[in-house]
Amino acid sequence: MVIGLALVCLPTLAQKRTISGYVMDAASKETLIGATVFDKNSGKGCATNSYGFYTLTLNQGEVNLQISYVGYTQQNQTFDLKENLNLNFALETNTTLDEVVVEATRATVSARSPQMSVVELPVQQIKSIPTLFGETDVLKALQLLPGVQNGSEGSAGMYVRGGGPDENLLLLDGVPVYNVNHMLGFFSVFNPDALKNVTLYKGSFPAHFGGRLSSVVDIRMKEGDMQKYHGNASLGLISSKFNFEGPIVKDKLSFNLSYRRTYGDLLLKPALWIASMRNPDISKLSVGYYFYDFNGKLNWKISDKDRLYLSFYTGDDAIYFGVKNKDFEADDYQYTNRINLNWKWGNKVAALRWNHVMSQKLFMDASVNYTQYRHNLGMGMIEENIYLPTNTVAKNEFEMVYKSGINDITAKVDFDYTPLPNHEIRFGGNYTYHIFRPEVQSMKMEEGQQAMIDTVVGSPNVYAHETALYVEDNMTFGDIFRVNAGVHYSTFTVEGKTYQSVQPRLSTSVMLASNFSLKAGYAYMTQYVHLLSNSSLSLPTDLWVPVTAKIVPMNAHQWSVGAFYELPRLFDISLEGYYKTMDNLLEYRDGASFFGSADTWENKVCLGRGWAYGVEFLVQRSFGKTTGWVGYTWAHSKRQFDREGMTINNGKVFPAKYDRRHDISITVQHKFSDRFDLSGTWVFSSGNCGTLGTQLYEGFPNGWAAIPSIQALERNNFRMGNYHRLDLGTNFHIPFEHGVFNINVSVYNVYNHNNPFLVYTEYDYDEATQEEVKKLMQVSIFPIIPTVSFSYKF
Amino acid sequence: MKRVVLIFISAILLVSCEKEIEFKGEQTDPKLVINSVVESGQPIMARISKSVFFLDNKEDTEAPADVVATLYVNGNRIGEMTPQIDTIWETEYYWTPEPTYRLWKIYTHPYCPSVGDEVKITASANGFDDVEGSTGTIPNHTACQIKDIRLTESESWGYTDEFGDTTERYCSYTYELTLEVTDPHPGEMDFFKLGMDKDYHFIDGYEHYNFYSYSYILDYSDPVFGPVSSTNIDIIDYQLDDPNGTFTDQLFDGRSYTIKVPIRFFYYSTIEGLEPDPYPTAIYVEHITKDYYKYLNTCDQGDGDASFFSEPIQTHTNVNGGYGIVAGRSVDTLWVTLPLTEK
Repeated sequence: MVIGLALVCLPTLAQKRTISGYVMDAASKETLIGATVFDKNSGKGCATNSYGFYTLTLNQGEVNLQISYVGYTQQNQTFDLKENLNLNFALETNTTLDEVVVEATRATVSARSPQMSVVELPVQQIKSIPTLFGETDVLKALQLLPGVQNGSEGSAGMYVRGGGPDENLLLLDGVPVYNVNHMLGFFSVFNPDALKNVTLYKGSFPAHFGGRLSSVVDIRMKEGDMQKYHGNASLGLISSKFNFEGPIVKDKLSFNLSYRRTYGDLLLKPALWIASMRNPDISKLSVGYYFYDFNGKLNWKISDKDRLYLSFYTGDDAIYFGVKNKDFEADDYQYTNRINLNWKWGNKVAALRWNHVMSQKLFMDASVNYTQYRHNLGMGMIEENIYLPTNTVAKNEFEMVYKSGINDITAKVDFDYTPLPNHEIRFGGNYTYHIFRPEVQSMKMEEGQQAMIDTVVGSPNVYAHETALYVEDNMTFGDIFRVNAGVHYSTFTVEGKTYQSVQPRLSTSVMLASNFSLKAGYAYMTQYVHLLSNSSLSLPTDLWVPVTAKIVPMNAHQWSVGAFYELPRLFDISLEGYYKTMDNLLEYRDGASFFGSADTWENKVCLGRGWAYGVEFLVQRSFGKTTGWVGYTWAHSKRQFDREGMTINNGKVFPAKYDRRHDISITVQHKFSDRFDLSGTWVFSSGNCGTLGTQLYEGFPNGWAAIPSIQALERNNFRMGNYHRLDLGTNFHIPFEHGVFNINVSVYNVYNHNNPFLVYTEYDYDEATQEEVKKLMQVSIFPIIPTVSFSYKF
Repeated sequence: MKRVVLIFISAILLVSCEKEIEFKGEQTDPKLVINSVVESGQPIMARISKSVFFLDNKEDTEAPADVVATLYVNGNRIGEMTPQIDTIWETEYYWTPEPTYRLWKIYTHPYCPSVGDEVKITASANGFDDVEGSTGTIPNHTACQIKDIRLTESESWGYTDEFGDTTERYCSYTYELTLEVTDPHPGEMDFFKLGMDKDYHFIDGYEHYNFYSYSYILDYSDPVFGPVSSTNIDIIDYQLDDPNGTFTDQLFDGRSYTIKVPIRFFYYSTIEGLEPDPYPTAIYVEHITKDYYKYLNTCDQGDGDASFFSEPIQTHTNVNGGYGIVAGRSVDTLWVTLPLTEK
């Protein structure tokens, strides 16, 4: 199809000239993703790719280029285009408070682009959203967008358009991150200080994405200032952060380093020391929890045509406990006891990337990536009993180590090719070698000199090979009709079995006016890995496993339609509807729970199908003094598991766990002056579903106690109360000679609404009537929480 | 690890708020419940009760007096079942000093169904939806025999008081029972249940033994009973399945299968030197219907797994319009005399 169209368009090639290059920040020389290069004369434009590169083919003659990016002052250049040009543009940050006159904003390009169901969130906007404990969080900001739901309160889990939490592909500099959460999912691993750009795709996926059913979150790290050193340090309620960037060789080589760590455990140390001093039985006591993230990136501009990037990330959560009892002496015996626990889990991500401008029309991005999620648990206990007269030692020792994880090594190459003015072709492929380590446990127990247990058990590593090839063409037919058509082909080989999938993708747009378009899209997605998890909380025992001969890949078809309208210099408005079918979805059987035991996981799950449909409405304002958005989602998400031997809910259709009818989010930021800004977020959603036995009946045979003990259950038959919450935050910026000191005050759940977290039945005994009284109780976890944090930007 | 996770979550919940809320969900109506295990060659008995709303303080499950229960066999109406008052123990252990019991109503019919019959019970009452449940085809008897039983381990221990007199004496015997079961229907899935019961000796209404056989355990460790967690050292989430003795012919379709199960008996006495008397012990091999198999397993899973994270178990029911189980079975009883005194 692509070749055919290219042949059709060949005659138009004669009078064309191509302009290409990078768009970057004037001060730091950091490339800008999604910046617009637009020719006013011809009405043609394009956006920079993930590496800030653009290519635009125009008619020979006078061109009037506008180069713009949100938060930057627009640049205009008029010249006579006679030959192919290589032009780099450096945009100045907009520091004025007046509204910037941007005629070709990102939203206009968005309305013109055939792509739909895409939202780009500026990191600065993410940082200004008030959050729990003052920790700015990328995923929680995304949860405020229509079509994206969180799980339990405070959780960073994402449920996009009726999908599950493992159906989101979270890419950090193009590399998948498997466990994206810290602290049971209350925070994500993405430190906003290290980030440059966040883009969410929730439907109409371009063909270059694959591997997950519901969404792609493309997060790009900052590359580092090529001109001068600067950074910031901050101190929050639960964590402190540090970011530093600058040139190693000016205009050639730069770095960006970010570190974040919680410090509750460090503050606890003196208290534990005092506690152990006061307790005569304890000589040493340590207990704590922390998480940290370390991001780094090197950016080497080898030449105008070549760039090399090295990105890496490492982060861990850790729980530790250690106690050593003081030696106890009695009757010629000395007794010592030591117990310790070390529990650590986290990710490591690394990417070595080479960008090469092969010609003005051909851009190559080649990379070698590595990603790892590991979960290690070690427990031990040593008891020593020394008979002092003979110094004979009787020792009991117990040691247990548990390890699980996943390692991926990927080689990838992508090409952006613009052979004709109306064709932007993207093609490429990748190969991933997966090493799944479901679990390995070693246990050693010795009593005296005798080894009671000394064993290693667990599942052997599972090795899998995943390949993908894709091609997509962004086609323009006049000024009205645009199409992005592509196909993604993937294979997955595991344990001698190969699955393959051909996934067509299509997005179209029709411009009905210069600021109004209608769009439609279709995407077929296939997923080869599953996350075994127990709940909406993110636990370290959550385990990624590949498809098997019995558990086949998950598939989803998604159709979407939408209307996009821009009110110039006011709002961008979008209305989208979607319908999604999902097949081979996994769900735990009734009563099945999973805690790191992969041995029998196939027997604990059922395969079924799901449907999700809904309407999303978004009004967004992304420039001026007041920015923010209002989002509303009306949605349904249903499941059915009726296959023989794999039924849930007696095979009847039931609502998905996070099926919510209504979701509203309002996010507003207002900049009063250079020194003061205010932000607020209000969210409302229908209650979560849960399973509650509303009828009780007698069991049989149950001869000894004829009490109504069996609950008549239907999966997710009960809906908890509505959820709503207001968060407010304010920033005070105090300028100093070498930087700006910021004070952030935020309040979570301002009006202290008791939002439902879980519901249970309680039995009380009424003394007056001497009868048992049943009550339905609701637990809420986060009341009003004020937070203060400080930062210094230099 | 589950404990550590729960402590962690509990720590979060410590700062949480808790309040009583009003139930705003759908107010479901009570339904009639039929519980009946129909056995070939035995008169039919059914307990018919009603469900109660989960927040009702008074858990009155007695069905209304106007319940009409009707028996059908192979589609033919046999007649109405007759209500009878029976005794049901309410305390868990019937030997507690003052066991409490209540009277409950059961419905009986003298008709004795045969293997291959399909028995249907319907029930109706004013204010309730009509309900019905069918056994499906009552399974035939299973060709089974005890191949061997041998003592593998015995142990005894006791406690003495300050004067050196024996106050408590315990014996433990472990046997290995070898049993052969033949699949009666090649190519079809059959469902079975293996159980054990001792013969009770009552004198003046009290169980009489020189030793109280206070506990006996059939260890369903044979592969036919499915994977047992105890054989799989799961350190992260150490838990034992709660086996109920049900199994299928998946491993021996169309063939005979030899099941080996350890049996442990524990005896207790206060008299020194006394050995437990040998008494007959029944080994039951039940050929059961699929619905009964599913019911027993979902009941057991519901009792045994109280994981914070798992979805609650839906107990299987085959009663249309209501709840409960109408099951079919044929029982074969094999007798052994225990304890054996020699290995």
